[in-house]
Amino acid sequence: MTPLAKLRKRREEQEPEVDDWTEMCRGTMPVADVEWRSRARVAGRVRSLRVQPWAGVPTLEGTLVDDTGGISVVFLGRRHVPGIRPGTQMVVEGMVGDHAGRLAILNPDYRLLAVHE
Amino acid sequence: MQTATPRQPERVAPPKPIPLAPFVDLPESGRYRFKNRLLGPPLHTDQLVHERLGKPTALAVFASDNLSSVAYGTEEIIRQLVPYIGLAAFTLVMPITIALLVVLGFLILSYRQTIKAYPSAGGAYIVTRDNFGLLPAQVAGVALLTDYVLTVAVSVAAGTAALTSAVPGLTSYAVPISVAFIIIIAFGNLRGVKESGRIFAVPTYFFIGTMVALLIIGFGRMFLGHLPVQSIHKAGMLTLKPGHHGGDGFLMGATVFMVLRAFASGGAAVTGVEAISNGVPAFRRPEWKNARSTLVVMGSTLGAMFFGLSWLDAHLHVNAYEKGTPTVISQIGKLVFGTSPVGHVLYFALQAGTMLILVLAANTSFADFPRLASFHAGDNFMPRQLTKRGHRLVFSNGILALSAAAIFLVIITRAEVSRLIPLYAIGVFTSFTLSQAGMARHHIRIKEPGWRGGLFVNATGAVLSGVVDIIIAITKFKPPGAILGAWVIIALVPVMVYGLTRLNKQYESEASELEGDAKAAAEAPILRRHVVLVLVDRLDRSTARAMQYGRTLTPDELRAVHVAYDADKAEQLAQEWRRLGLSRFPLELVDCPDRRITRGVLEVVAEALDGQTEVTVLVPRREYTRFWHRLLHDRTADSIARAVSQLPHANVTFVPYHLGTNIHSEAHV
Repeated sequence: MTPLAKLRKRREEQEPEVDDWTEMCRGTMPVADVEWRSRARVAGRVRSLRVQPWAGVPTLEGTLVDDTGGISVVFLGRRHVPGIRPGTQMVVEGMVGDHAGRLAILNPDYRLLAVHE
Repeated sequence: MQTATPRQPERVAPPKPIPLAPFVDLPESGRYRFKNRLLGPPLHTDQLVHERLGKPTALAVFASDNLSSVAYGTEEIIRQLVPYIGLAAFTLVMPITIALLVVLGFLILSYRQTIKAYPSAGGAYIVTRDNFGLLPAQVAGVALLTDYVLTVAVSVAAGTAALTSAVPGLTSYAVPISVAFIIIIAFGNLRGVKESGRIFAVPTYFFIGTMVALLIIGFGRMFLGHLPVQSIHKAGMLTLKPGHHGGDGFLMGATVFMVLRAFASGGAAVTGVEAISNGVPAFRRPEWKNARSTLVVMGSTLGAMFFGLSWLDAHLHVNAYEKGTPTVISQIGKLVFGTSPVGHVLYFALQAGTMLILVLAANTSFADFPRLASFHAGDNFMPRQLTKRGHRLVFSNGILALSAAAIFLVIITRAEVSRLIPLYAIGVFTSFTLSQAGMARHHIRIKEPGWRGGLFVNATGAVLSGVVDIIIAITKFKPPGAILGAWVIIALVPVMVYGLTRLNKQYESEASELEGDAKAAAEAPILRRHVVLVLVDRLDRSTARAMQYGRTLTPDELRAVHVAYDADKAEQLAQEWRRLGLSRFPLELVDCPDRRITRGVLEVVAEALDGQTEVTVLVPRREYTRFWHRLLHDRTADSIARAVSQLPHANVTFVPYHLGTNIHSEAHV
């Protein structure tokens, strides 16, 4: 087997992560199609995350984006959700409301894509 | 406070007067300290005085460029003739010299007109600009600027040749010596050598004295028949063309070209006439009258010296050396002064005088080039930096530019005058032509009393210098065996003029955009919201200071932004932020998968901009006390600032933190 072919094979072996993600994305909709006051299930990447200090109201607020747009994801009463960091890929599901004038899902169900270190 | 009591409450301390200057206990920058040590303390703007010069000193100040030309004028004529027509060269030296003197005479007559018409500053640039407009003025100016560079290079090279002729051991060091001369002159000018007469008077009159001695003794011995005739050929000299040893003066078509080329090369000898017209305001009252008579004296002195030297050369048959040293003037000096001890002393005096006046001639360009460049820049045709007076009230940037260009020329021509001469004089004659034509137009426009006479003089001057210019351009376009020639200048001037016009367009459009409707812009309604973003890399003192500062701005929204180029680091920062929560405002972590921090910040800022919001980005920046400390860190802060400033209504403020000092240690609680 040539070195190049070896490399190709190894890359194929590493592919399953993507498959995991495709699996997770089944049944989600693009953010652009999300409607206010209806349930939605969207998949995307955490573009930004807002950390509140002690003095503020405990809230963890992030922006989840896919290729079509972004939506706020708000965890009320929490300062920290383990595993949610900038760049995390996740699927959220919940009722779409609003937060600070933007579409938002408050306290959604969420699934994180495992990151292999 | 109780306002009811009529008496003022007693103060604890009596009021103090306002201190003269607020006390800033910060070290000056290293660059400034270096400048101070090198050039002396900065001069006060009020110290910019224009010394008024009497006629004898003025002659010394302005004539060096012009008079020094005799040091190489005759030699360059010989150099062009000997290889082609042999001994006949020495019969042609005088006619060519006389033709050049006629040109000189007309130039002086023409410049007498210019001085009277433009007593404030009558450089070719100003005259052309006034009469033909800005674009022709650029041509005149650029031509003159290139020639100032060449004046420095030629004069310094010739001065070095004078030195190496007297001390042949130094011949192989000609280039370093020339470069050193340029650096010394530049240094002196950066320090601000005032055009004070004494520095100039001594070498100029010393040179004139030694030349007079040379000519008197030379002619004396010539008429008494004591003067030996130089053996025609020595090793290293230009070879004579065989078959013409008779020197019958028979000229053919090709030879006419050679004669014209010799004439063109000799044209270098009449350069520098314009110096006085540039500096009329420096004369004592009545300026223009004094300037005029000084001009005539200068021209006559040059003419007499040039004429005498050419005559001696024609008689002595002194040939030029291929490498330029020993110079013709040095050979003549040796022959005329003889080998007696007194002769030796006189010979060395002549060489020293020649060298000094040549160096001074270079110095004249150092006064003129920066000033002309500042005129260009003042009209928005050159970088603005050239209008700024530096540390010692001189146009430092112009001086540096001139030195760099001259050093470059000297190095590529290996400090050989004959390689530089083909480039020389074409620029000066171009500017002569334009300024004389400008004067002719001036006479037609103004029709002052006696304008017909003036028109005749200037028109003749313009035509004559135009013809000389064309002769120079054609005959020296590319001298055989040389790469450099007049073509360089002919190609360079249009390119530079085009470049300067482009520059001007840029400046004009900038100015019109900035100035247009400034009042309306100042009175336009301001944006309603103000968002302040503090860039945070880690939670440290410099960040804390930036956050404190951000709070004093009392914006509508204040948040810290961290671009998470490293997920673990971001997580750590977030934990610390939650734990400490010092400033009661949120931290936003922004995903940055490609680690382009600048791009990440840009996106955050762009998101906050909605047409109703001014966004201020506070960038904590560490300030270093030593320059090498700065090398230990990259310049991310600066590149972020540059990128963000491109967005409309996005503003960047640096919040400095001075490392190594305790200025910020007493932070407010």
